[in-house]
Amino acid sequence: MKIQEVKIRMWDELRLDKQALRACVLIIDFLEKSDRESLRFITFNTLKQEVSSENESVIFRAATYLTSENAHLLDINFIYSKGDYNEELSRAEVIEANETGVLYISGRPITNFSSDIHIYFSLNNLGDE
Amino acid sequence: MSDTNEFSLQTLKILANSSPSAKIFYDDLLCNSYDDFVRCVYNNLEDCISIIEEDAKVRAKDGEDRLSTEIITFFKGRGYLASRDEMIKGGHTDLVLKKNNFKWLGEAKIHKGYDYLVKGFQQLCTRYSSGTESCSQGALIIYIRTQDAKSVIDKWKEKIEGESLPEFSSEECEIRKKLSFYTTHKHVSSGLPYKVKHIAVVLHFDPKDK
Repeated sequence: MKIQEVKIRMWDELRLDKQALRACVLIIDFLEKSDRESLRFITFNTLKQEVSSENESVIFRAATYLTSENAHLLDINFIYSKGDYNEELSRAEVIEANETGVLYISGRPITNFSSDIHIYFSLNNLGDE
Repeated sequence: MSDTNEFSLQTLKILANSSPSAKIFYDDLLCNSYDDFVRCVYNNLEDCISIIEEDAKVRAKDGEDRLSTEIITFFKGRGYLASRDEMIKGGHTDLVLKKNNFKWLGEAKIHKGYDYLVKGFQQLCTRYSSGTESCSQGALIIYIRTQDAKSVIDKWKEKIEGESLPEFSSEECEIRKKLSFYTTHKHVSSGLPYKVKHIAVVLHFDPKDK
């Protein structure tokens, strides 16, 4: 989905949630003014700062919209990070670990992993058009 | 890895316990089955119905189409591929929500009598839904403009229980107690269980202060 298309559609699609609409406007403004390289790694905190809101709920609703199949300007990414060790994880790996209670890192089973899996966002390739 | 430390899966899980919006994000993130998908749909639908019910006065003259359009708009805002009046199987379905390969259908009726609701139920179960594993649940959304929505739902439950549906069972809705319930019966096309959530939307508005 191109940014321009989402910018038009969101005014209708988020009209019942004005707070989320405002947050999306600010996030998209941030995406447009940032250099593309920096948009490979966007934290939840960055979104919070851009929206200037203490209300985390609205960030979640904006992120839900912008990462969805419907708008899809942002991708959600996962990284396992412990000490100096970092490894990117797929969504499927995170889902499986959450269901089974075991995460495999380099073939090694890890059971206590929730605090070591970090979530970040990146600009979807299509959003770059 | 410095900035992301503040937003781990564990942090999200903790936030999801206290924030409905965080819970929706979390559930969506880890959605991996049709049941997960339907659970997300119904969590969102609760929010949507609350918004619609808050504005009963404004919506006093809205028809079924307009009310259903509001639901579709809401779900688009929650990131769903949502459409109204989409041609599905044998007709135009009121509400269609899709995510990944999962599909949920909803039929919406303004309450005008119980036979009219039976018609809506039969449209959902026999005309639109395939009843296959990726489309094994749906909802009958009942917009109630008359007073005492609970008694409407109670009578509707009695009515549907008397329809002699094959392998029928019913259960209470834990979230929207008294104003919603579930039924399950053998789907005529697939032969598999088809689960329907029956939901009252309270739109009665008749203030007595003037």
